[in-house]
Amino acid sequence: MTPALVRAIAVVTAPFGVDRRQLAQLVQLFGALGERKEVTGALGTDRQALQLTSMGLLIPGALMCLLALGSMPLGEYDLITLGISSMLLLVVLVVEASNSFLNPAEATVLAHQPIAGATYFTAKLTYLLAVVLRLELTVSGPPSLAGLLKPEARWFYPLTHFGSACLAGIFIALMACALFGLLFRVLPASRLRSAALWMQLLVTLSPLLFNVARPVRRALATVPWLPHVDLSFLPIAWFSALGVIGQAPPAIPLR
Amino acid sequence: MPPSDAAIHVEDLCFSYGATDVLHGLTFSIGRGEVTGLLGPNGAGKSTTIKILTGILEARSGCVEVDGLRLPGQSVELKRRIGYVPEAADLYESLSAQEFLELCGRLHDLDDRTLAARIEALLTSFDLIDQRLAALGSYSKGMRQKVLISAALLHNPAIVFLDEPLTGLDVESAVLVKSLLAALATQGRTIVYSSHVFDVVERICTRVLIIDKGRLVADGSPDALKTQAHETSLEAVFRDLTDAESAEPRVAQILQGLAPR
Repeated sequence: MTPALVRAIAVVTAPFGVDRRQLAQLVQLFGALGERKEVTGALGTDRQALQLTSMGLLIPGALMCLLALGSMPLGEYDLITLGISSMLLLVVLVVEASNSFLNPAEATVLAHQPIAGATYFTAKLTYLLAVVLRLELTVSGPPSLAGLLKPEARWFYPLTHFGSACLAGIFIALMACALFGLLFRVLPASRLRSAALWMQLLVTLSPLLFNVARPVRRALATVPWLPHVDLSFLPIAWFSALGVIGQAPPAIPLR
Repeated sequence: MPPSDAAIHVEDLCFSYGATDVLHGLTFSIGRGEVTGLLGPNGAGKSTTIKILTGILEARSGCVEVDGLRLPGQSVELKRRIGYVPEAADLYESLSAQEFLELCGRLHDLDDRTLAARIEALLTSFDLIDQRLAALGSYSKGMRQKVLISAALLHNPAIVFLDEPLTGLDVESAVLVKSLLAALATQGRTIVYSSHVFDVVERICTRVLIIDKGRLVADGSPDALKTQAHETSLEAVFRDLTDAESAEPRVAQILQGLAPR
């Protein structure tokens, strides 16, 4: 999948000064670095682990299809499936993003090589997109198709849902990079591995924390003098709105 | 206007890291085929100057032209033409020397056959051929330095910048690098060599630039500088020009501090 993706991206980005050969070279390099756990030691996902994870994600992907049989509106279905798949992806992407974007040696290794900024940035995003696509195919692919069972869904729902899920995946990866970038400033590189472990643990436990917080939120909602909380600032709301575009109102209306 | 035979031309170059001014109006030209030593105490601005000349850093103001290319605008094109050995031996730890050199060669558009031949020749010369498939993370500092020097020469550049290239090298490899630089110089390549090792600079370089506190304080051949300063060694000239203290009083101070009370 990756060589075809690189070729497609090279064609699209060539007018912007992206060097096709270098793009392929760099994507291959980032793949090798991720596979060999260049930055995060034992936490990195090698090709085999990635394939296994991708296959494993088929199970929640298939289970989410059952939601399409219920009576919930399309907007809600989209939000829930996107939320679950993003959460699952976050655990993997936290490490993958840190491996591909945050190698402290990279500045000195590549800075004097003849690589245009556009080529370098495109290579990073292409690599990340390849990982996201591989994972999204199994976790978001089945719910995208099952969404067609909803009466409001139009023929292109699988495309909008899958596209928004991929964008959410890229967004998650970039946010993970930003967070790691901040951690780099306060922590030595040697402690990055444990930081990544903590982040993974936090993400894994976050649904639980969300459930714990739910009664509190409900209780707060009954207090009349508290202002209504507008959730449209949450990134998941933006991507979910994109998933149902031209078909149904989103579960969280955007303002 | 830069002189027509100048490989490098710098005019009124200023640079600062945040609020700290590092270079204050450096001006010099280096002719094609010249081997120029860049000397200066720690923090004088040598590495910064080299990083600007190689297109890694952008000058705050001033004019920089290398091999007829204006910086920073043409920095990608420039990086195709130059070789650079950085001061820090940072490498991808999980790649092997073979893989790293292949990466560098391909980024410079070398064809596979030429690349393979050059990698083999360089790794053999630097005595790394048997360890070429080992991860760079397992290399010693000297071995890493050899890989960096190989990477800088792989595409046969016309201008080579070396920032403390002998750091960590064993005697044999240091001799090899010095001879290599001398041979490259006879081939008419332009070499800019930043170092603290005076005898190497004195032996290899046809010209010396001494930078102190971001300003050019001397420019000339090693012999001319010695004659001008009425000194017998480049080190003495350097001490005179940079207000570097003689080591003896400091040694005495250290020994005094260590003496039993």
